Amino acid sequence: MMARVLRTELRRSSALWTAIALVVLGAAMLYPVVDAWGGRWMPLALWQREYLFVLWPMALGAGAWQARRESRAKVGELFGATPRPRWQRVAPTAGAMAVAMVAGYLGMFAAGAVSVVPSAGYFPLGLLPVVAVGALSVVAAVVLGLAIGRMAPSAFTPPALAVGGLVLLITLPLAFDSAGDDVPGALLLSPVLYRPDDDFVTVAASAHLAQVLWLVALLAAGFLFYAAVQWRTRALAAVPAVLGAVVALAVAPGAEADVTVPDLAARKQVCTSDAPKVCVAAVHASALEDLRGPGQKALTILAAKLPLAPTSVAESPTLWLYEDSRPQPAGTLLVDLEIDASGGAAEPQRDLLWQLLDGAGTRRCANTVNDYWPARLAAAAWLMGEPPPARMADSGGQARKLWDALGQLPADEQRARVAALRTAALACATTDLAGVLTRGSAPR
Amino acid sequence: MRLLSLYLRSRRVPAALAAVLVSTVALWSIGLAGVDAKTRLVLAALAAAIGTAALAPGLVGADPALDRTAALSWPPRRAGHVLAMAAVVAGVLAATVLTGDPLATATVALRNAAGLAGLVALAAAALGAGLAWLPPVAWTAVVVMVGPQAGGYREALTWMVQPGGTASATVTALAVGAAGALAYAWRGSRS
Amino acid sequence: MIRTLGAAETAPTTYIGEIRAQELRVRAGRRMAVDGLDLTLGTGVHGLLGPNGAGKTTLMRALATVLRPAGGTLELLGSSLQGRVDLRALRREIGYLPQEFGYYPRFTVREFVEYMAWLKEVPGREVPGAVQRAIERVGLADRADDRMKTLSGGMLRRAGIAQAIVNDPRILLLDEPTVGLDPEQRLDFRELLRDLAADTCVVVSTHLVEDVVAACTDVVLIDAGRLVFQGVPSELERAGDSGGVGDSAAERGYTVLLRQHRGSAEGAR
Repeated sequence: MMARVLRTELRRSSALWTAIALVVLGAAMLYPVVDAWGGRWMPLALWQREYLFVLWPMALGAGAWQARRESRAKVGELFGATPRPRWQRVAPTAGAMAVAMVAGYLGMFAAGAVSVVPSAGYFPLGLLPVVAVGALSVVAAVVLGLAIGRMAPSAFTPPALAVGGLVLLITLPLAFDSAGDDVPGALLLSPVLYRPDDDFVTVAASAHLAQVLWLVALLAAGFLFYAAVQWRTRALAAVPAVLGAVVALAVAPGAEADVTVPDLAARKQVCTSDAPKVCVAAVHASALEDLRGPGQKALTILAAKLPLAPTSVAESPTLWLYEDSRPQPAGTLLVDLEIDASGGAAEPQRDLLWQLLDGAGTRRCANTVNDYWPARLAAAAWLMGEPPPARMADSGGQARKLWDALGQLPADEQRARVAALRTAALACATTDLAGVLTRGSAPR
Repeated sequence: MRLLSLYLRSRRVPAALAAVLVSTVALWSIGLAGVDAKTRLVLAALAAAIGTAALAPGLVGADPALDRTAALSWPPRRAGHVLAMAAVVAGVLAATVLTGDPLATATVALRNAAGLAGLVALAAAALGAGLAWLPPVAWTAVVVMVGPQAGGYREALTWMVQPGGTASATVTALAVGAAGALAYAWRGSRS
Repeated sequence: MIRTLGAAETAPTTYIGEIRAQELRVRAGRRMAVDGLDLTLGTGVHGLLGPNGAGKTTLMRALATVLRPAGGTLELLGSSLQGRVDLRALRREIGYLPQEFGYYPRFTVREFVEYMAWLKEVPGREVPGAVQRAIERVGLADRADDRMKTLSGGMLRRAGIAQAIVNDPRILLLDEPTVGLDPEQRLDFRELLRDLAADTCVVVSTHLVEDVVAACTDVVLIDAGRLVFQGVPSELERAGDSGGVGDSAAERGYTVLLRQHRGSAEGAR
C-alpha cells in the first residue's frame, strides 16, 4: 500500500517538476564549459560535483517548498485524527522527493553524457562513486529542506534556504582558505568536491567513504527531524548528525593533496600499432589519431637531424611543467596533450608538431618553466627548417635572431649545438640554452 | 498614507524589507575583506537577487480572487509595486556608497535591481508569487558559478555580473525588467 | 450494508454507549470551551445543535482525539482517554470531517480518499473496494478521477464525507457536513445518514435545524460548553409549543430551550 501512496506522491507532489528543473538547470551550467569536460567521463562527473554549489541549495529550497504543502492545505486537523504515525505518513513524501532528486541528478549526468559518449574510450570505474555520492548529497539536501520547511512553513523559507545555502557554500571555503591550508578534512563535509586539475587522478576511496558516512548521517538526522512529532525526539536528530561528522572526519584523508590519488588505469599507455610507436594515456585514447601524424613526423625529423634521437612518443601523465625537475628520458619524446570538447587534441596538427619539436624535443621543466623559450623555439625552427613563428611575447624577435645566427654556422656546428641544447634541456638543469646556441658550450 | 501602510502590511513588506537590509549588510561585510572588482560584482548581483527574491512573496495578496473584485484599477498599481521594488533594492545597494566601501556603483545597482525585479515580476505572472524567487536566484547562481563571459549572446546572458558600462548587459536588464513589469501589471500574479 | 466485522466487533459490547463523557472539560486556546459536559451517545444519528461559541467544534475535536481533554472523563468505544491510551486502535474506528476540510488540491478524489484510507490503516487489500464504495455512496462516482481543486464547494464537502466513511468507522463525526450542498444533495445525505444509523454512532454538528429533525434519531443541544437538552426530535418540537421565536416548530423549540437554560443559569449564579 505504501508503494501506491509513493506512486501518488510522485505524480501529485512537486517531485516531477523538481526533477525537470534540476536537469534543465544542470545542463544550463554544464554546457557553457563543455570544453573543459567534453569527451571524457571523469571530468564530467567532477564538474557536476562542483556544480553542487548551486544544486545543493536549490535542493534545500525544493524540500522546503514541498514541506509547505501540509500547512498550505491546512490538513493538520484532519490528519491529526488518523492512526498512522507521522513518520509513516511522511515517508512517501520524502521518498518521492528523494527519487526526484536522484532522477534529476542522473538526468543531468545523462545530458552531459550526450557530449561524452561519441568519443570517449576510457570508462573509469572511479566514476560510479563520484556520481553516486553526488546523488546522495542532493537527496540529503532535499530531506533537510523538508525538515526545515516543516519547522518554518512560510513563503520566505524556500528562497531563504536556497540563497542561504548558496552563500554558505561559496564563503565556507574562503573561510578555511584564510585559516591556513591544512583543514581540508573538514572541507569534505561540504558536498562539493573540488575538481582536480588533470585527467590522470581519481578520488581516493577514503574521501568517498567519509562523505558517504557524513551524508547518510545528515539524511538520517533530517528525516528524524522531519518525521518526529515531539520536540524531544526532534532534538535527538542532532545526535546522528554529530556522530556522522565525527566519524567522517576520522575517516577522511588528512590533507587536501590526499583526496585525489593517481588513476593507474587512466595512465596506462595506449599505442599505435605501426612503428614508430606513438602512445597516449588511456584516458586520452580518443586523441591518439590526432597525435599520430605529428608524432611520427617529429620522430622522423629528430632521427634525421640529431644523434641519439628518441624512438617513440609517449604522453606524460605528470606535468613536468608544474611538478618535476628530474631529468627527462632521452629515448622517448614526451608530449603534454590538451583535449578539446570532442575528445581530440585541442591543438591543430601543425601546432602539435611545433610543440613536439620545441627545445629539440624536450619539455619545459618546473625549475626553468619560463626561461629560455626563445632558444627552444629557435631549436624547433632549425629542426623544422622554417623561420620560427611570431609569438606574442617575442619582443625584439629573439627567437628569429637566434635562428638566423644558427643558420650562419656550418652544418656540423649547427647540429652539434642543437644536440647540446637537447642534452642540457633533457637534464632540466638551469643551463642558459641561448648561450648553448650562440657560444656552443654551456657556461657555468 | 494609512492605505499605503495597510497595503504594505497586507503584502508582508516589512518583514521582506528587513530581509533585504540584513542580506545586503551581510554581503557588504563580506565585501569589506578587500575583494577584487570581479568578486564585488558577484556580491552585488547576489545582493540584488536576494533582495528581489525576498520581496517576491509580496507580489500577491492573501486572497487574489478578492483583490480582482476591487473597483480600483490594478495595472498601474501593480506596475508601481514593481518599480518600488526595484527602487528599494537599488537604493539599499547604492546606499553602501555612503559607507565609503560601496558594494556596487549606482549604475550596477540600478541595472541589477531593475532587471531582477522585472524578472521576479515576470516569474510571478507565470509561476505564482510563491515560486517567483526561483528564476532570479537560479539564473544569478548559474551566472555566479560560470563567471562573466565575453562576446555576443554570452555577455548578455551573464548580465548581472558584467561591469557597469557593458552595453549588452544594460540592454538585457532593461528588456527583462520592462517585459516583467508589463506582464505583471497586465496579468497580476498567478496565484 | 455489508462489511466485514473484526473479532473485536462481534464480541459482545461491554459499554453502554460508543461515546460517554462525564464532566468533560476541553480547552480551546485559553478558553475552556467545553465546561462540564455529561453526554452518552450510542448507535444512531445524533444532531449536535448550539449557538456559535458553544463548544460544538471543540467537542467534535475532542471526540476525534485531536484535542486531549483537560478534565473529566471521556470514553470512546469503552476505552477511557485518561492517561496512556492506544490512540491508534481507537482512531481506526473513527471517521472525522472537520469544519475546515483541508485537502491536497492536486490529488484526485479517488487518490485522496485512498490516501485517507491508508492513513486510517485500512488493510491494503480492502482499500480499492472501500474507496469505491465510499465514493459511490456520496454520489461522486462520475467525478472520482478529477482533481480536487476542480470540485465545487458541495462536492468537496461530499468528498470529505467519503473520506470519513471509507474505513467503515464505528464513530462518525461530521462537522457541518451539509455546507454547500444543494437541496437534492441534502436529501441524498439524509438517506446516507439513515443508512448509517443502524450500526454506527454518528454525530452531526450543524446549524440547519431541518436537517437535524429530518435525519437524526437524537438531538443534543449544548450551550456555553454544557448540555442543555438531549432527546428525540419530536421532543424538541414539542418544547416549542410554549412560545418561541422561529419559522418551524424545531426552531421554536430550540430558542425556548436555550432561553430556559440561560435563565436558569442566571438564576443559579
